[in-house]
Amino acid sequence: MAENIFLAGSAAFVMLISLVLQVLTLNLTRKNIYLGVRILEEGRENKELRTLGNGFVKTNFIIGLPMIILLTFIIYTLNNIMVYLGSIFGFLIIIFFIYYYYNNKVKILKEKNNWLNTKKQEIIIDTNFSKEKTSKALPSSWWFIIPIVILIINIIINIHYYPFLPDRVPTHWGANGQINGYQNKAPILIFEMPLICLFLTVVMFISFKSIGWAKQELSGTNPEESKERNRIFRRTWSIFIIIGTIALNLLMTLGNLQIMQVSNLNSKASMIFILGFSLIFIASSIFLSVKVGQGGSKLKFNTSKKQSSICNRDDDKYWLFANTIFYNPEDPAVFVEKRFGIGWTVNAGTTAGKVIYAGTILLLLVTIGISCMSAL
Amino acid sequence: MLLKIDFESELPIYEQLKRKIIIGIASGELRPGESLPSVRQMGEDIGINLHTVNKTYNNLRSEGYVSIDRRKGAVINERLPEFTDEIKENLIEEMNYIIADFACRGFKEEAFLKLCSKIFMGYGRGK
Repeated sequence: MAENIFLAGSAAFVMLISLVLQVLTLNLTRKNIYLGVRILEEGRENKELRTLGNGFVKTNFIIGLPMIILLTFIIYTLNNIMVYLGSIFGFLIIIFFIYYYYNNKVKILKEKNNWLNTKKQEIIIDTNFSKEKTSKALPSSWWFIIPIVILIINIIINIHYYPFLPDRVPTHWGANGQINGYQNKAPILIFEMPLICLFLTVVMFISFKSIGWAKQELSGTNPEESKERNRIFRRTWSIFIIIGTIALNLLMTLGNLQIMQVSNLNSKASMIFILGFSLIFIASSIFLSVKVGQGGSKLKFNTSKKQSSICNRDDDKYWLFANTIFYNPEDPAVFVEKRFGIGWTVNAGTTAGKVIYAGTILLLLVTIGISCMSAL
Repeated sequence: MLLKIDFESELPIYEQLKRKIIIGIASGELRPGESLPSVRQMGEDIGINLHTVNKTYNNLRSEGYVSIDRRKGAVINERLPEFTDEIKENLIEEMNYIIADFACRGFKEEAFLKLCSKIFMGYGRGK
């Protein structure tokens, strides 16, 4: 496959997925959240709100789809990695601003109608939640032994095969299967891929643990049911992370064996493995997102006993930047559920939260830097 | 136990939390020997400062409702606090104010007593 077709194709895919996800998220959030703004659960069917929601969906497609076509064409013609990265980032920023615009509209509507502007600002919690969470809701951390074992096996294989390597070792392949990177034979080769695996596994492990640490959020309308939803939600994503980590390590093992010249896969086979893994990973995460919803909001329950006790706290004041960044220094919780999206985010008001934000930005800059440097 | 906290209440949060826990003990939702969530966990779940939770737990301990175990954290006491004269005096004073408020608003004694026994019924221990 020619390099430019690969770049253009993957960019189009990434942009399309981002657009579809943004549109889908509108109805995957918790029932009392609309476009990132906290509303009353019953208020979801409000006509004006629905009109805004429809506008959001339409605008995304009207602006997003032509943009994708245009940017894909530009990437195809210029065939440059920096144009590729720039286009994707640019696209993400543009669709974020569509969200930003409609998020603001919902805020104005909320203010106009005085939603949640009540005397009582209550929240409800379950004191047993933390105990049940550790004992039966989440899979054991010991599952992460599997990726570690895979990693150790890789090192053992590498030590064994290292002496047979040539002086110049191919370590990087292009989309068409051509070797485009070499490294001189040095012991670092034994540990290079295992170290990358270790880094990925540690990141996945922290994500896994953060699911357990995340703050509980119960709906006042039906706390018991919302607890159960939350439990299934957390469990699903924990299992997803474990399976994903193991699969990722196996994929990296293939790469490692290729570099160490233990195996000799042709470029087509490697391509199928890499693309297959990415596709399955993305498809299954979208499937789970749609099936389970944020906080388990999409799970089907037959609501028999409805304990109706309204308690809503308008915590929008702690959500900055179109309700994407949670900032509450009074709240010691580091991980909280996202407002618009599936999963969790960090509390930028805590020290740990600040460190995570800084680390992520640093990692992003370093990655972009390396990509650009290698393109020069 | 499910517990509600009102962030706009005049009652400070540490006091609300203390009251909710005592109500939980009286109604049997919190059992003797049961451990409460750790200070950090409770603080994270409600979204309040850890000092606030600490204050509640310390107050509950000094009143004899919980003991602080090094390993298990705050645990509901097997033997609940005794009814001392001092406590009685405090509670009567509190009652006095509550009844006064009821009386001022024209609430009848009979209705009030009915309400009281209904509330008492919920707390099996009171019998």
